Amino acid sequence: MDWQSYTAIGIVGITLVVFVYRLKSPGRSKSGCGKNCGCDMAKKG
Amino acid sequence: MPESPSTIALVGNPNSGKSTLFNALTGENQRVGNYAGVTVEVKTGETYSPQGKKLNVLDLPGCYSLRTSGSPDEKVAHDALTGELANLAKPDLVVCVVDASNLERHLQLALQVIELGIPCVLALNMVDIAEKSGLRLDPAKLTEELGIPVVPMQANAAKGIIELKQALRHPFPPPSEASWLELDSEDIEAKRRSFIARLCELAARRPDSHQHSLTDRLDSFFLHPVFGWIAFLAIMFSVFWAIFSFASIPMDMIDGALGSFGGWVESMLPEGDLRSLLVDGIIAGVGGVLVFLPQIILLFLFIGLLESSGYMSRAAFLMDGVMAKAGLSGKAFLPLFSSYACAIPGVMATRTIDSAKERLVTIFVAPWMSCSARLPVYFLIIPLLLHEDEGSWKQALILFLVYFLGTATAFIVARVLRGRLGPDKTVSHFMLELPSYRRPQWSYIFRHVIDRAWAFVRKAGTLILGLSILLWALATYPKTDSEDPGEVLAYSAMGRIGELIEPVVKPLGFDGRTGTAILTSFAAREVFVSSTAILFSVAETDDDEETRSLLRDKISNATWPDGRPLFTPLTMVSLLVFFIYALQCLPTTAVVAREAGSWKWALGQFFFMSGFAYVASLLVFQIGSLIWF
Repeated sequence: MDWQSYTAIGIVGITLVVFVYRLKSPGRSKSGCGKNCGCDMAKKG
Repeated sequence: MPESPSTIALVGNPNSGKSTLFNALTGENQRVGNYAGVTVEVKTGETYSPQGKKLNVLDLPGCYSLRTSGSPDEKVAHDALTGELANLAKPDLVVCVVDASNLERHLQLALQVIELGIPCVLALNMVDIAEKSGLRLDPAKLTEELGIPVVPMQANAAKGIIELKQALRHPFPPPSEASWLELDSEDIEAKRRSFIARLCELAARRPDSHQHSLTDRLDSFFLHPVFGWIAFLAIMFSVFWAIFSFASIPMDMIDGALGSFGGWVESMLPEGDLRSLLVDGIIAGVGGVLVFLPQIILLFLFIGLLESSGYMSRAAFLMDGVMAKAGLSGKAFLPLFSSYACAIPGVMATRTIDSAKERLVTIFVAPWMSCSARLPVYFLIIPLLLHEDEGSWKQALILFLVYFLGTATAFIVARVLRGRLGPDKTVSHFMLELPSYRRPQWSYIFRHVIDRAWAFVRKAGTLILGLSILLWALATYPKTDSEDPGEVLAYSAMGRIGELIEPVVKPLGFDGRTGTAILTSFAAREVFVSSTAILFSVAETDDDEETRSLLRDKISNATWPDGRPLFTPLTMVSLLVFFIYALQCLPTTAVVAREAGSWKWALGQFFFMSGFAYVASLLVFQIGSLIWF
């Protein structure tokens, strides 16, 4: 494995950690959405 | 001890300009819709009186009355005004926002509010429209008869805001004596009607009551039982045609830019996993979704135009008859229409529906209104069904049929489900406001389009980016020593998942790669495009030409192991049908569980729709195969 492989795996690992953290995060929007559609629900916070 | 700020509540019919006034007073940007149901929860903000005292402002849900037995938003409004809502102070003053051009309807609610004995101010909004229609308003007379201050205004032009704030100075005006309650009638509603009729005769007179406005003349066409429908279908078709026609140039520009960027990254890095991640994972995955941005922008631009001009209320009127046959009232139109953008606000907008059973049915079928997340999939597949020389109108027609299929199925299932739930104990009524036609509010439209576009880009840059990285990893690891791209993919985790899935999806006309891409799209529908881009990119050989081709070209050239084309027209129709019906949105399921009050209902919906999608796709492919071969 070369430096590119280690870097790529590192990026994948960080991404996985971020996903798991966001899934378990207690501060999720009460509306249930990911605030990704630009509707009123996203503005409620 | 500092004095706690006073609380002002804004109350009014939907479409009275209440949210616009709330924005003007508090400085927050809230959505302005042209039909009922935009505000379904209580919004709060702050403003200051002329004396510099802080005032809390509540934007209550738009409603037509304060019936406690009515829809959820009527109950919320009533409870907020009587101080029965938890964690919300009873208002010290209420601003009743009325549409000056529709006083007879809007004053009904205002009188009910005044009868609660709370100090009130009447914001006589949209005076410009009233005056253009020939109404002669007499605010002084209204003040005298109602017993409360009346402030003429035009909230969308910020006219009258200063005068309204003057009316909010301390001490607040005393509550009105509600003189109409002394009228000679036993029925309180009859007293109100009689009072309003007399008041409008005195203070809101039309010089010629038989004069037809431009709105009336246009409505004679747009609400015609035959021409109205022709106009509706023509407008919808034109919107779709325009999207396909006008978006192709910016789409090609975006794709070209992404291709150049990918080429530049390739030139900067030697061959290796990082280069593959950046080019075949991130750029292919995120770029594959971003390329549809022009079409998303155009779609929401046209929707904003139709909303802002006042046409959408006419569409709701036309749809009322169709929805009645499906066992739904016209109140279901807005939740279902909202679901075309996203099912989540659509499901939440069902709070305006009085009947609990009708509400459940509407929630159940709402995800079948093809949401904007499906658009990248539709825009990817539909052009592949036609030859590249075929006109945009054929693509528009197919997109129209896609929407029609989802909508028609939703109505049929709603009819069946409504029948099974049984009749309601009380009859619910649908009151629809038909505002005057007006020039589109361009600032609102552009703000709306920018919001949607930014949300689309943000999703691509966050969720889609993350999923593209993970999908690339699944399609790359574990590695094999073989250099054959087919073997590389087959050895990877994605390939093994595909191998497991293939027997399940093969009857639908899909191979393991397509099945895997469908599986990943349950996280977000747009991910299907990213997954497909990654799966079919990783399979390219080193001998492939340097220039990056469109994803569609890659899909068109994809084959089964025996060399047969993978994406035949029938396969693509089967794929479209699957995406029309499948519920691939876990946030929607969570919101349904909350709004329906039951995870059983939400999970039932998920499994039913997933099963329905599978069976429909299976039938399309199998029957299609029999007919064509």
